[in-house]
Amino acid sequence: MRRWRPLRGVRVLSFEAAFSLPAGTRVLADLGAEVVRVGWPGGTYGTYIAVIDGIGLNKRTIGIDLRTEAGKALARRLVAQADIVCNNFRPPVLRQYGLDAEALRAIKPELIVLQLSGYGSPGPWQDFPAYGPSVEAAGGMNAQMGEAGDPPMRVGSGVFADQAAGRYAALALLDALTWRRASGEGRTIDLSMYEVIVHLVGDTVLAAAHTGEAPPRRGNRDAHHAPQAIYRCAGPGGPRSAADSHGRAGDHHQSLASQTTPGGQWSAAQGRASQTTNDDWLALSVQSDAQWRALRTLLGDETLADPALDRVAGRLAQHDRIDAAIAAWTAGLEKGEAAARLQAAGVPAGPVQRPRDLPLDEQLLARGAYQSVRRATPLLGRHEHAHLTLGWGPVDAARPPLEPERPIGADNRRILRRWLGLSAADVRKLERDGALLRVTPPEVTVPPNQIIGAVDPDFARRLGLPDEVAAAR
Amino acid sequence: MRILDLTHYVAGPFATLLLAELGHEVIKVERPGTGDPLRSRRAEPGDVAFDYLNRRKRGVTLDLKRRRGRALLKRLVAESDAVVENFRPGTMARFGLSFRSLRRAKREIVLTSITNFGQTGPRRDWAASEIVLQATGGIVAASGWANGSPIKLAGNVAQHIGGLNAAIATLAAVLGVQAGLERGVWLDISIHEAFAAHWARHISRYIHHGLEIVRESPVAGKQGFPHTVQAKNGWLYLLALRAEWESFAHFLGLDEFISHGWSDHEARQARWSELGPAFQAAVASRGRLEWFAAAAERGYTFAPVDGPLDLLDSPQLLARGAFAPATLGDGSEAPCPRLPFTGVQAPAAENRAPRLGEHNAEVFGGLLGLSADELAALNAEGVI
Repeated sequence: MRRWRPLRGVRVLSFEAAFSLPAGTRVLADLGAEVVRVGWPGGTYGTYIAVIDGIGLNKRTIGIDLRTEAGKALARRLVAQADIVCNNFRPPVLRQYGLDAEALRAIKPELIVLQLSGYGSPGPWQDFPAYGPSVEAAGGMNAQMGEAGDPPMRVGSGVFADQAAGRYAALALLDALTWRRASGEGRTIDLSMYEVIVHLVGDTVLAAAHTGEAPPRRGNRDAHHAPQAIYRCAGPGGPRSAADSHGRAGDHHQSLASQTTPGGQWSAAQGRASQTTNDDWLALSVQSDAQWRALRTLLGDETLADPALDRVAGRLAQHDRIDAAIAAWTAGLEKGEAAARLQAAGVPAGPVQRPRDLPLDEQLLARGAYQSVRRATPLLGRHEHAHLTLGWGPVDAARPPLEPERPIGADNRRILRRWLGLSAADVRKLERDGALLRVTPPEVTVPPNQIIGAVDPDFARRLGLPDEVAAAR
Repeated sequence: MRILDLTHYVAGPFATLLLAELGHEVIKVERPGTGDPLRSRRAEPGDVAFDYLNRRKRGVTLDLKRRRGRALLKRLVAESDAVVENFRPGTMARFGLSFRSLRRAKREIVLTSITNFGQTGPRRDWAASEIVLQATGGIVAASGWANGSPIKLAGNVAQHIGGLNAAIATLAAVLGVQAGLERGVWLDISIHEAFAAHWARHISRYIHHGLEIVRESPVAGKQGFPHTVQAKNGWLYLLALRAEWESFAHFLGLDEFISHGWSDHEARQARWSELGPAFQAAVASRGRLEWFAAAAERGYTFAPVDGPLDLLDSPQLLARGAFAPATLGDGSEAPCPRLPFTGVQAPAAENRAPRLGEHNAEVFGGLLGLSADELAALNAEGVI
């Protein structure tokens, strides 16, 4: 199959850290743009979390010491050759290095400049630090999650806002390229992660502005359709036991710390804890009266053959009763089996997919959503790992291949030759002057503060990966 | 750019809304008589979904089941850069509007097809809804509390994210065509797959070393205190990732808990019944925005847990001009969030959804050059 690279020839110079902007420039890289990430010692590039997030895949790197005059001068020369320059640094840092939007546009007026921050600049909160979860809370997400009586919930990700902000950044940059093609003009873009969340729930904001009322929290229910909920299913071992049925989702998990030796190696003895874990659920949503009749027939529960439930108003009024009947049915079935039976009957339903499920998700696998990344040095015991691509592309093209992340400075010579026409001797001189950097990446280990969940010691077998011995050889 | 919009419900209209907000010309094509099924919900008080999703678009009607309707559609295709649709897989082909036939109308056309699970694969024809897309794509499994069921994310975010990815793909494809790198492309956007990609960190963690994110305890999470606590005037989100407990406790006014024994988060979790009441009283002593600003000074990433009504008063959003007045179906005006970035070319189109067929004369007459008589005949036949 052919490759699809609609941004071939577009040059992006990115001063980026953390996850938000890197997620956006990764989109451009997967679309064929030449994305050069400017690295510096002590940054987050090449660390555990950056590798896990795949934010360096398909990108090049150059190491520039911006504290030196020669480094600043070199950065300005690269800016003049770029189509897009973007950053997610705090404004004072950029001014210090002469890389604020005004300075950049002065170098090249037709440049596209994007700056990304938690709350947006300027604004009264411009200097407030933020992580994805804090802007999700501020932007209207958490307050609209969960049951009316619960405290606000949070999104089970930690980087939901970062990912979304990265995508909006890609949108803004592509639109700026479209505009420059038509007008020849550059653009300065300031993106606020906070506003990204507001925009994603913008319909609820407009509704509140219109009615003057906060929307009610409905948990998993819907205002227009019923029944709709998430129901517990039997685990892979068959119907759940009585002890399991009232257990908390995390009870059977052990922390990574209690199961691993300092080197992060696994042993067979660690394999038992999570096998009894049952945290399997099914989402179901009846969208029409016809689907309700199909569901009723499938469940075979005569108490549901009540004419009061034929219309959605009646079903909304007696939602608890319907939920009990559905939950009794799902409790005896594995989530995949329950979903398949409901879909065969034409009822919208699907398994609540956990991280352990999605790498084996038959739909994602059939569509080539995962591409393999081969790394020269082993990472957590293996040379090869699957990573997700963008999640879309042309019908008749392969998903983009993923090139591994490069150590900071690995592309110094290549970029300086291609962008500035510098010779190897020029590059050596810049290295001697201290303007250019090369950083040997530290060995990637799992830092203790990343242990936020449960480890499945059986994951390698489940995913069909070679064992450590094979990987080490 | 001119975009021909054959979308309805949520994901497709969100994609073309983004393009319309960016100042591109969007022509929304609807079924004569009824239009986008979301229109009918406007009768319900407070249901502004259709208005939100279809602002700044022009509206025409066209019956795609009729030969004459399809012929007119192809004439519009010839005048457009991209077509965006979100029918079920195979529907466009049944209408005689496959990518191949659209390319006969315009060689360089970009066709963006948005579906729940994609144009291919074993779940291609699965029925879905917002909660099903969120659940099958991920994130929901880890949302909610450990002692309860997984909880859906707010609103229609999975469909919105599907639409966002479709808008990105469409812009990229048109740029590729304009740069001469290709001649027309059919894009396959799966909402499920796009949403799953937004959970890449946690899928990747499992693939790399078997680590799974799980739902948290509502009482005392991984910081050793709950992340969401009542302040004086609403909920406050407390995140202090790299904070030392000693300085953090002092900041909250909990000096009596600074002593040894409290610095470990597991100890705080285990003895939450002792710490909890003082912790909650301390947070409740100040307003949520007051805490937010004070925490920011210390480098802590707190946040007010604001709902839609609070957002309308946000000093940051108001200072940044993040709202633009939109006109709703009942003629009233309300502030509506703008795109979350600056620098956009101001859209010329009005910030409201079109009435059904409002721009028929303008588009079929102006753009395609049909006469008033021809328009009247099409109207009488029910083609438009």
